[in-house]
Amino acid sequence: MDQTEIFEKVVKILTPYVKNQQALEGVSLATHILDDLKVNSARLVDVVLEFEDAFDIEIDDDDVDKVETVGNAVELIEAKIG
Amino acid sequence: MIGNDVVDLSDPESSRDARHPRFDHRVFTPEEVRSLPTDHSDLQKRWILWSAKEAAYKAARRESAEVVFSPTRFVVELDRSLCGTVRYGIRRWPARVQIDGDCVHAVVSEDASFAGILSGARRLTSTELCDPSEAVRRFTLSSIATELDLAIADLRIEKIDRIPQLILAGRAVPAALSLSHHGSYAGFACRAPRIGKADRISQCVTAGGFAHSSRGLSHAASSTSIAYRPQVEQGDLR
Repeated sequence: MDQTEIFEKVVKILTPYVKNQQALEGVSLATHILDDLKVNSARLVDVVLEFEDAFDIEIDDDDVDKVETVGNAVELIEAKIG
Repeated sequence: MIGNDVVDLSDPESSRDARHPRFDHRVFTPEEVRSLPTDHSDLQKRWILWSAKEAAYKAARRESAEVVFSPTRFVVELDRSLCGTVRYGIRRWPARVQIDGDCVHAVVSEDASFAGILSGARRLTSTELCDPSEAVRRFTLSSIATELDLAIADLRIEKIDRIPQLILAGRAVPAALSLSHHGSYAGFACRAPRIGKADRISQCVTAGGFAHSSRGLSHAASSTSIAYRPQVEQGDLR
């Protein structure tokens, strides 16, 4: 799976949790998940669990803490799936 | 250091169906999971625990940027009155959670008496919901201005390194501040100094800090604060 495919899948998972639709329309690797997309911190837990299910990986809390942008999430998943 | 978190129980995000099946085990300790009731009151207790963890995390982050938001490492121990502590390793913060209707509001502090802490939560108007981030700032500034007898025009809030900072007359005030909004509610907590109208600017510039209020700041933020009114039998969350 290449980075573009991971990005698209990540955005698809994030979409139901996004409160700022305008930011979603212009989403990029630099988009901040909490600040720009306005995903609630509790829902970020659900997002991470969905990442685990969708990519068949495990993401620990230390990993999650480093994820601020969509790009961070894509890079983390890319590294996990090798 | 202080922290606060607000949860709107009526928001669709708070519903049982909105959660991932593994959510509870991801964020709660085994003991906390066991404390969750199996009846309709589980929703409120779940978000009581969550809000206390989130509030403690905000306080912890003010002490160290190295703190990771690992919810199971923030262990919530509350009594029936929803007062208690949140532990993170060897660190322990006094905590209290207040409930008013659909609003769950948690505040943690360094001091179990919560002396000098101004906090509150209230429902946002339909107009305010268009920009809840701005609304929570206005609510907070209004509450602080009222409590400290300041002109709201002299106050503003800026985020520095993602941490809200109170600015008075263009200068940062050494007040710990925590903001939160969720659904239709906004909440805040502030360990605010006493700032007199006559000396506020000179003190701000020269003293590098303020004397804490001799009268103290009530936990209730005037008419907009929430009052403690448990809606259900709380049980023992420990």
